[in-house]
Amino acid sequence: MKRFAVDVTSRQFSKNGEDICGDAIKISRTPDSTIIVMSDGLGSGVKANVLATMTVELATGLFTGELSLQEIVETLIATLPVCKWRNIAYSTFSIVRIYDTGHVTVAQYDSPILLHLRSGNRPSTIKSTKRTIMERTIRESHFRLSPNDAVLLFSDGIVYAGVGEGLPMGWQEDGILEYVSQTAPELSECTEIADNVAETALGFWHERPGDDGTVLCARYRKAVNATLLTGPPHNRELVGKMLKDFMATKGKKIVCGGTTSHLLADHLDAKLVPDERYIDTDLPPIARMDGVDLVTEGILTLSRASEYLAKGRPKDRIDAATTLLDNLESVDGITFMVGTARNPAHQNTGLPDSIFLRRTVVEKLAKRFELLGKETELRYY
Amino acid sequence: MVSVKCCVGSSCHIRGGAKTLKVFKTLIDEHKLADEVDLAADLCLDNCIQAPNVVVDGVTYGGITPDKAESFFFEHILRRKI
Ligand code: FES
Repeated sequence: MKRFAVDVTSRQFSKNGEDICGDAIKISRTPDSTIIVMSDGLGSGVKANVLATMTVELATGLFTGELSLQEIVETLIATLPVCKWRNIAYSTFSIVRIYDTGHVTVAQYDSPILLHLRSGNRPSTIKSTKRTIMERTIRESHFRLSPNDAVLLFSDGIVYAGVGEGLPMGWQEDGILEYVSQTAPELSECTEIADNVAETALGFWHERPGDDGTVLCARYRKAVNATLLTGPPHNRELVGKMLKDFMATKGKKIVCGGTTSHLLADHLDAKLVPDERYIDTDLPPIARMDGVDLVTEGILTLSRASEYLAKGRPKDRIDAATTLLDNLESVDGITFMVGTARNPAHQNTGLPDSIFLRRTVVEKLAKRFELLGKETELRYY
Repeated sequence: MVSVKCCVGSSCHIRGGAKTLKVFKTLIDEHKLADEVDLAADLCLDNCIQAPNVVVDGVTYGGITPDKAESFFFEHILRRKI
């Protein structure tokens, strides 16, 4: 499981009179890093949007090969369409790669500076070196983030906010730095920072932006992981090992299964108490036990959780499956420890046998969590 | 005090365990027995093959489907109380 995670949030607005923003963003993840590409297309509206989108897609695509950042930048520069008239590219770009170690590499072409936000410290601009690639000046930076630090990116529409609306030179990079210095220490969430910067820029534009604007905040933080234990092992002798492995994990601990929870309660010499409020005829209740975060029944609850993920939860319903999802949706990675013992009582229930294949149910659930961007791992016992 | 555990784990739930529990609860309320019968749910009473299961003072009874719940209550739970 990853030990660190990167949260990315962004806010955009379009130039006054345009429905579509001419800036584009694309976030992608590799096994060891998060890649953020932002591009500002020349002009505004659909044309700018197409150019910017093309640029971020192309850049992101190049990362799937084994190319170095320099090679990627070279390819981009060589590929981007250029306005013959003015000899300027039709789009600009910022590529920020945040490794899980906290190292960050940046390559920017014709884009505003980046800010480094540190909790409790004054934000700073990130120093860069210049390099000429195919007659274009690329700014490169390398730096390191500590957990909870964030990087703030913004487009021209933020830097020049207010031009023609009372601020002759616009907000400017220094102005943004100053603003963030004064407001960011109290702003804990990235969403809030991005929202505030975008709102302030819109204010300078008197709500009639003269350019498309984008603010993006990426926070580097410790990952939160969970382990879900379900089902007794196929071999009874493995019970002790499975439970010990489970208790040794870090992060949230969840047990899904009646027998499994009793085994663990015995192992920990803890009391297992079903929660009366959850008792109804639709789904078995949750239970509480010291030492773990949540206990539910197994197969039925896991299948239901998977169904809610696929089709959405019914409104205003609280049951064991929604509680399980509440616990898991907030984490970055989930390890499923799956015992593969079969319960002979599950035969002749009138329900299809496949429902009772714990393995199948858990694998389906894990897939659905992956689609939500979570890292998953399956371990069988 | 009679201790009654009613299973609502996977196997028992599918076979109506939660309804059996509900029947017990209603009867306890109706006959004002809350001080004399300690009713609790459980996620598995280790007798899945005979689900739904009820344990009364440590003795396991299998096959207590909702339709049998009322007569079971009078026969095995109330009788113990007396
Ligand atoms: S689920 Fe009721 S006895 Fe196992």
